[in-house]
Amino acid sequence: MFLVIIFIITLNYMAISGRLDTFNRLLFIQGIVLFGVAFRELHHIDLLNLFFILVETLVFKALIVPYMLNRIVKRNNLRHETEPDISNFASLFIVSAIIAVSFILAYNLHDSHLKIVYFAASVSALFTGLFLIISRKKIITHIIAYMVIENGIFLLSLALGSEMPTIVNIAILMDLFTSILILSIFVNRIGDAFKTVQADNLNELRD
Amino acid sequence: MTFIPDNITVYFTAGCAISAAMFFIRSKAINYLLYLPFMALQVWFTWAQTCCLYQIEDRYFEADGIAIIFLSVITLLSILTPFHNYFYAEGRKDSIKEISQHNAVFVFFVLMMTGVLISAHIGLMWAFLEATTLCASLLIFHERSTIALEASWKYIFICSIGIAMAFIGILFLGIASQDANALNLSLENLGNNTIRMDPNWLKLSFLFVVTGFSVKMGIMPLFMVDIDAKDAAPSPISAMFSGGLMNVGFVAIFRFYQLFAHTRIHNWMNHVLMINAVLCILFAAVYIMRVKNYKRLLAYSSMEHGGIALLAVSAGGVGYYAAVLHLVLHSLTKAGLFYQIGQVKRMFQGKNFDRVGDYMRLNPWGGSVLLLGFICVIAMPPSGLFISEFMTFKALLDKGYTYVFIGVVLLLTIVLYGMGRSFMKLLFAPLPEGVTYNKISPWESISQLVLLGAVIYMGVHPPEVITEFIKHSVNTLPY
Repeated sequence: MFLVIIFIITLNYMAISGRLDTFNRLLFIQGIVLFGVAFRELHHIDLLNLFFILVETLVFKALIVPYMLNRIVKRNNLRHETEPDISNFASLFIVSAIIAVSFILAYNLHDSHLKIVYFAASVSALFTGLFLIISRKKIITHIIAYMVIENGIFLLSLALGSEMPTIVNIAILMDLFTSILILSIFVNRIGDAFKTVQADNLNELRD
Repeated sequence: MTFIPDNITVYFTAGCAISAAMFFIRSKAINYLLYLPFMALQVWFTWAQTCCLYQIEDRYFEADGIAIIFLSVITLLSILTPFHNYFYAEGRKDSIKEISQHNAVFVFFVLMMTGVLISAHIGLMWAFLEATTLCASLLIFHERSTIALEASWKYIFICSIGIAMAFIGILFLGIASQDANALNLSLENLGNNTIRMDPNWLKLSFLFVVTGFSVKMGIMPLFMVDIDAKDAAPSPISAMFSGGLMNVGFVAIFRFYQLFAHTRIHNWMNHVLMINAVLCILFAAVYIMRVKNYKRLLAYSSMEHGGIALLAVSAGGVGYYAAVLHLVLHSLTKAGLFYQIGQVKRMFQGKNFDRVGDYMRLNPWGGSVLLLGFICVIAMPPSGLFISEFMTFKALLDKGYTYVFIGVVLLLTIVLYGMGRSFMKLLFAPLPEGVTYNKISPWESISQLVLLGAVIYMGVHPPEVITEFIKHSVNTLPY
């Protein structure tokens, strides 16, 4: 419960934070929280499983991704603001509303196998991520929001309690890792081609 | 104990090895020669999978009828596309670095599409689909222009979000399966247990899956990035997208449809698909009247055909058969047209409507391909697509959807007019002043003629083995 509360607080903080490095730190915190949650939910301490969640949460989500994002910020000399389209108050309000609705929704589900708290937190993360993508202009913020969505999905799979086979888990992690890698390559390319990294520049393709 | 590798291991290991060799060996001749073992591998694997139909090799892979059908299409296209890749690279005078990267990613892309088709575990299928996204975005980026950059960024980003949506759908299915005490997400296990699952979770799962995988199939609601991708990618790659990736997306959606078809939500699913299909055809019709370049025109036409396939599935009965046949024939037709439009683009150095004309006189072979392709793609007899569309409409009328039938036919007329207008301009209108053109060898049109010939042949006289496979792939569905 405590961990989930921290997770929810990071979501709220993301809504009002104006600096990219704060976003990075929040992603780091989310990674650690997810490790804690996953560790608690381990049914039986199996070395392979333990190693796997260690890699996925601590190494990948908490260290590698924030590090890569940080490098993109430095390389493209991004100004340290996320430039939201709407005011901080409005986005805080919307994210809080998302969280409230998710919890009300989750507690009205009568499903014996579902861990309600995780389910609610994950749904909040999914919609917060989508909201961040819609309301922010910099495409690096979009990647961060994508990671928030992925964190939400990770929580959702924990809420389920059922486990994918290890080979599938490894394939999924490889995909995630490569996608972040390719996304960051493209951000750098966009930075070189357009001199700024704003989503507004990408408007040549249309009918 | 001796280790005897099975077919799957051999296929993926050898494929990855070829891809890696292409990436690291920076010699043009060797790079293109490496396509030969790759084609052989692909043909051998398709053959091997056909021989062991319905025999589970291990827990994660199984080839069924629908997988074999679409795998054969992908194999055929992966044999033809390298030639067009070569002409394309020569036309642009690509550097050896660009060529080797492109070829390596192309081989990997085909491997991943094959992986999706033969996966027997939903999580694994998801992972392969996400991998196709990653490869596709690199292939789209090949020209390194700002448009290619924009298209590949949008493609990878929106696809990743879409596929994440689909993963949520899979997790919802996981919740439903827990309630039924069926913990394993393999297709076989789920298929035996969906009947006992909570329909509400299944509905949610289906909605998320259709939304998510729509980005791969290029249908509503996330069709836009797919159109941009087909526009900005090299033409042979657009052919792979329309001819291969679209079917892969369809199979991904169809697997869920098959799983849920025996539950109470079958009718509800049909209605969801029918609404989606009509919207697809509507949007395609509107955009086909507005587009300004040929690749986007073909991309929207793919969306229209995707819509027709969904319509056929939603109608049920003979519609299931029609849907698969339609997609197969559409793949061959659209691949041929994309190859040819690639030539047109090289010939006139452009693909916009205002830069082309008089193609029939300047390049009679290419002009014939386009004319034949046009007849095939609008489903006019003797095109095989006529048969499949006819069966679709028959299925619709059998089920009493007369109004849907009338609406769709009207929309298809608009599509026909829009396509006809643009194609006739390219073929017969006088060349605009000041436009220069290059000569193109007529030999480059042979593969397109073969593909279109196959479409017509399969319409007139469908080979028994193909109809058997299609029947195999849909015979478990309820009427």
